[in-house]
Amino acid sequence: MKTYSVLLLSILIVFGTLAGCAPFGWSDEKSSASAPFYLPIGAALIGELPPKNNVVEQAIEAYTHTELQFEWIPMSAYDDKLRLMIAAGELPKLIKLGYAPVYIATIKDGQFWELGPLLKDYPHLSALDNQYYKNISVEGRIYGVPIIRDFGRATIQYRKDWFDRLGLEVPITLEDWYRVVRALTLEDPDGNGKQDTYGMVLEKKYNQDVSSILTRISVSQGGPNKWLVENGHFTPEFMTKPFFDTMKLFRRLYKENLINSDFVVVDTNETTKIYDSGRAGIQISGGNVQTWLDKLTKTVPDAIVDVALLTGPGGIRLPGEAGNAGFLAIPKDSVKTLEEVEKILDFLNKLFEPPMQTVITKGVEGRHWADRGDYTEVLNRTLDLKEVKPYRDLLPFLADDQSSIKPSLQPELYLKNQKIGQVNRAYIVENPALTLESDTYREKGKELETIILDAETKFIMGMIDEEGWNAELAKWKQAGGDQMSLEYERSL
Amino acid sequence: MATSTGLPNIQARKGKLATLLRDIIRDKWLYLMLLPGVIYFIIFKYVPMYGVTMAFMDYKPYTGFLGSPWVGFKHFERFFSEPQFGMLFRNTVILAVYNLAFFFPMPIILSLMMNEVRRSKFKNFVQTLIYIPHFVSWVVVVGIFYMLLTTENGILNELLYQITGKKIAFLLEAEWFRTMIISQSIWKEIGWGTVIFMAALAGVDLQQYEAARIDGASRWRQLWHITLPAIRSTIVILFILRLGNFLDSGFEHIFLMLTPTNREVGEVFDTYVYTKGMTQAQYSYSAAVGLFKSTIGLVLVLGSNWLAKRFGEEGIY
Repeated sequence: MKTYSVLLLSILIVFGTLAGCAPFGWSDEKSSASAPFYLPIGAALIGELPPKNNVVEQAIEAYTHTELQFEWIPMSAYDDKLRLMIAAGELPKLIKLGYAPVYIATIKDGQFWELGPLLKDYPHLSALDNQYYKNISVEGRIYGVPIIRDFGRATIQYRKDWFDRLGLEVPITLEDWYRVVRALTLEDPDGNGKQDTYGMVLEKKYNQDVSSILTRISVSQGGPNKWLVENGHFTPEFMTKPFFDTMKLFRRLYKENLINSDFVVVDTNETTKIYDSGRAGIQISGGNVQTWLDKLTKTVPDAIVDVALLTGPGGIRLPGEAGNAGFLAIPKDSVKTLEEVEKILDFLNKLFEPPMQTVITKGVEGRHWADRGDYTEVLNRTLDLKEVKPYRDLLPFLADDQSSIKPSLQPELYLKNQKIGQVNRAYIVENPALTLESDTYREKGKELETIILDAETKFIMGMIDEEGWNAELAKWKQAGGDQMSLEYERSL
Repeated sequence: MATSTGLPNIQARKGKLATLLRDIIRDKWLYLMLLPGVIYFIIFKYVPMYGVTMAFMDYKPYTGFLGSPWVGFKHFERFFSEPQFGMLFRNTVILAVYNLAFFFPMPIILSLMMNEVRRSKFKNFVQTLIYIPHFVSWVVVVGIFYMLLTTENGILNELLYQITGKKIAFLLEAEWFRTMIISQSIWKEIGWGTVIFMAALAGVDLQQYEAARIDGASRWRQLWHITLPAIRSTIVILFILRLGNFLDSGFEHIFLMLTPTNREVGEVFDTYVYTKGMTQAQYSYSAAVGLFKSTIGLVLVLGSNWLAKRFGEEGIY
């Protein structure tokens, strides 16, 4: 018994000493001047989860002298999760925000660091086109570093082989759109003798945000981008004629069964599947058309896809977008000192240096890409999607023409689409209310939007007529729409 | 008698206290075992209730509970004067009544039917089978219904088209919304709902049936005079508990079924709280709406419990 307790005691002492020592040993290492800066980042994940501590992450860590901790949150759940994190005050040191009323409200409450005055010390950050910052500013102040995208992304993407077979042209007027969609639906473009194709399929979010197909077509027909400003007076797009005509087009398409009848309940995955399996012929998209072709050729090997500028009777016209996929902001909850803010800005600044831009866009040489003299080539597309794309989606990088990195070899169609993205910038119609302030929008924006989005759907489905549509507009005005227009006017 | 002097009353109270103390000391181990449960409820159920004060403030996450200004009943006033209030209230109550009228009796009917099955192997097999949907998430349930009912190659609609030449947009039309919600709830939860009733039915003395059969009672008579009275108190208790959640429409379920075309009948308090609280960050306002809902639930539970006792039933406490 006695020996037993002595044994136990000695074991305890040994372990106690070990436990006491260990933290000392580690903390010594950590507190030394060369310790990498620990930086947790709240990140939106669009595709697959990248492997933990992969080579791309290691390359970024080594170059920027940081210890990164990415908290990947699937895109579909990102906003919900982020709102919860904000409500709980538990945020990582760097987080991707969107330019939406709820985040703007928290920014105004002072939950994030203002970065504007600090940017001048960081050459790469301050060199960015001012428009990028303007589009994420809150009350004229800058609270983040934008994750840069093209300003004009909308393109018409279509099945060239189908068009050629039926002798169709890329649509310009609304009547053209009707004829093309009708032909692609009824005239058996895939030549299998069955009526199993659609000209176009819609999904339930067809009329929301920047990718709204109604806005995109209406703008091409001469309509405004979200808001029309005349003599300082704000009118929403859905009260203009081009927009109403666009709605009438879809009402006609729906009535004649030329688009999918269940679009109200279908989500993007379903419609993408329809396009990818060669059952629909034309779409307006902001993504690169090469992705469509890559997937399509798996089921229809001889499919031909082409991309065209969004054109209307008055020439090329398309809605301008914010030029970002959100921005990276620094919460005050987790970053207490200015010194730490500066360290994070320094990290972001370093990301714009050519070696980092290369890693973010292409990955690591020898593993993801190879140098071929004038250009680089992607070695393994699957690996690229798995290990590089998550960082490309999240971290800021400049378009090919602005950065000093080597161009990469891409299929012709990819380059054509990319070029259109650059050409587009000259033809964009700006959203005049993008960065304007409105209390009504912040408080009731979502409800007001829902009134109109629902009314649009009901009109297209023939559940309400023009009179019913006008009644919905009156409802919108009364519920705060008028107030919102007024507030925009005042803040202009 | 005791009130006239007051003295015996105090003595009686002292006596009671002493007895209580003596009881505690005698059963100290039992009370000690009770302690973790009590602590659990205090820490995780009662303490967090200070959060409802959020409904009376202009809560901002960054400034927290202490830094947010106190605004009293502002959010409640706004809620009751909101033009949508009437619609939300109507939708929620209609759905709740449908739930009580059509969904609540279903597990009871099913349990009674199962009780009549004499082959226990078959009974067990069916019981297991009908539990399964309970473990399927709403996303999947709604997905299954979508596949069956969509107008684009939905199996049921194709069948309907072959027979009648017409398709019905079950998922889109407002008049089908409540039917869909209730039938989905029944499909998913009916089996699970039978668990408690089956347990109650298992406790019925078989000799009673024997005696009834000797007296010449038919199956229906046995059901009416033996089986139903035996589970009556279980039904009452479950009914009262159900009333406590009267206004809970099941957020996830409704949210997944909402479309622009059925919103007028489908928007309920739960979805409203989500839109306000989560997508527009009006935490205090949505807390006020939630508190209103819970208050109604509490009133209903207390009221129905009182009623149940008046009618000689047991109630829940």
